[in-house]
Amino acid sequence: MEKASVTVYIPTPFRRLAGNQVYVQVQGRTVHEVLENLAQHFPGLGNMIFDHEKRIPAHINVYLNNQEIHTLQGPDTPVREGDEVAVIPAIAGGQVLTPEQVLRYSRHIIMPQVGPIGQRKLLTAKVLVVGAGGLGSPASLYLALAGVGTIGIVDFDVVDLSNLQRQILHQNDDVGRPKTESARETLLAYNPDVNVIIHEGPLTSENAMDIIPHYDVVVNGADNFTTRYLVNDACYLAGKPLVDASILMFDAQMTVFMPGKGCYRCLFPSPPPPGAVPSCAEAGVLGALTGVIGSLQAVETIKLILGIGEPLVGRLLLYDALTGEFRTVKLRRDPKCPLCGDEPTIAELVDYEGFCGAPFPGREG
Amino acid sequence: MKVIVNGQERELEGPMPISQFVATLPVPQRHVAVARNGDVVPRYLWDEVLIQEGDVLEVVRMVGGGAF
Repeated sequence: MEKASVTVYIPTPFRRLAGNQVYVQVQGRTVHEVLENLAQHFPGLGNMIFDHEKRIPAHINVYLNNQEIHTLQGPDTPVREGDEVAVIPAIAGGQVLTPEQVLRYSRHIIMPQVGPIGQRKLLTAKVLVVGAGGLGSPASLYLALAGVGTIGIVDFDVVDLSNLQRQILHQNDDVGRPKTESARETLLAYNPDVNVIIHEGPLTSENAMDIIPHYDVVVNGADNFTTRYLVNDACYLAGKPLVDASILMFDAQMTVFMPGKGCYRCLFPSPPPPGAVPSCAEAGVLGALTGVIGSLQAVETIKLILGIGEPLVGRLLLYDALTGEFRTVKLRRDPKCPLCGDEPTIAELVDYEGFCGAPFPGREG
Repeated sequence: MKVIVNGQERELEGPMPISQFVATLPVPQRHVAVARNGDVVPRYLWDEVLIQEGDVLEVVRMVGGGAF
């Protein structure tokens, strides 16, 4: 039997023992051999996953491609190239997930692409949602329902009556309240199992790099070009995937920007002058369209966290609600891009405030 | 010659570079991205890439909104 190279997922409690890596590539023919080799590389971790008789202790659950190994052939289960092994210690309650979590997320866990390990990945993931508005509402809501453990919300605005045609995080009684506050209350009411961090105030060139690096994935629901370019640049500089979308009237565009594989500036190198492109306030937007696209952003975010399927990277999805057509076009990194090109001219965040004529991003949006 | 622009048939005078085609649009050049037959054409190639009979073009307009 040939040795295969497999990916071992290291959960948070063990990560410090494995050089703070989330995934480690290890060779082996069986699950046991893979773990032995892992223990050789990281003796501290070895002490945790083997007892003194080189057996896997009962409080350590081992999964091969999301299946607990005792449902397979135990530690002797053969592994194949590209398989994923996860070593999960029992946590409070003695299980990977609490009984309540198993029930709450059962429709996810039952799918082999998610499973208990995938659900743990969601629970330990950190996603930043920029804007608690039309796109940010459905996106953050579905992420919270999916059990994405930490959801950050950036917004500076208060709920306006004209927001309620589409922004499902906010209700009639919330008019006049800060959107971040209303967002947190709604998300926790739907799922108290998640942690909601609010970043009250506009995202700026000063604070973007204090916020974005703390998250795994960023969802862009910005309503103005100032913030859209800022989020694009900051995600590229911080090396974070950006699930981007923008909508107007009946049209939507969305894609996933993976650092180094193209960015918003590859499409549109610089922001338009003030007033050159209509905003949602000026041109209008179909409320339900924000639901379609914000939900798609949640889908792509969950795919990235789980590492499943084909992420919408290098493809721009165009949705025309009036014709009912989805189209995708291929998008590549532009070597002449001012941010991610071969000779970039943007190396740090510039002060975008007032860039598009708005003293505070979004006030005119 | 016939081309498809955003799903609709359109008549163009003949083969032309993307830059010439974009100049006929009612929006400034910097506010659009153009995909030809499924691939976004980087701006620096707009003078070189020719639009041909039967091409399928997608003109993507810059949109700022996330509808806060």
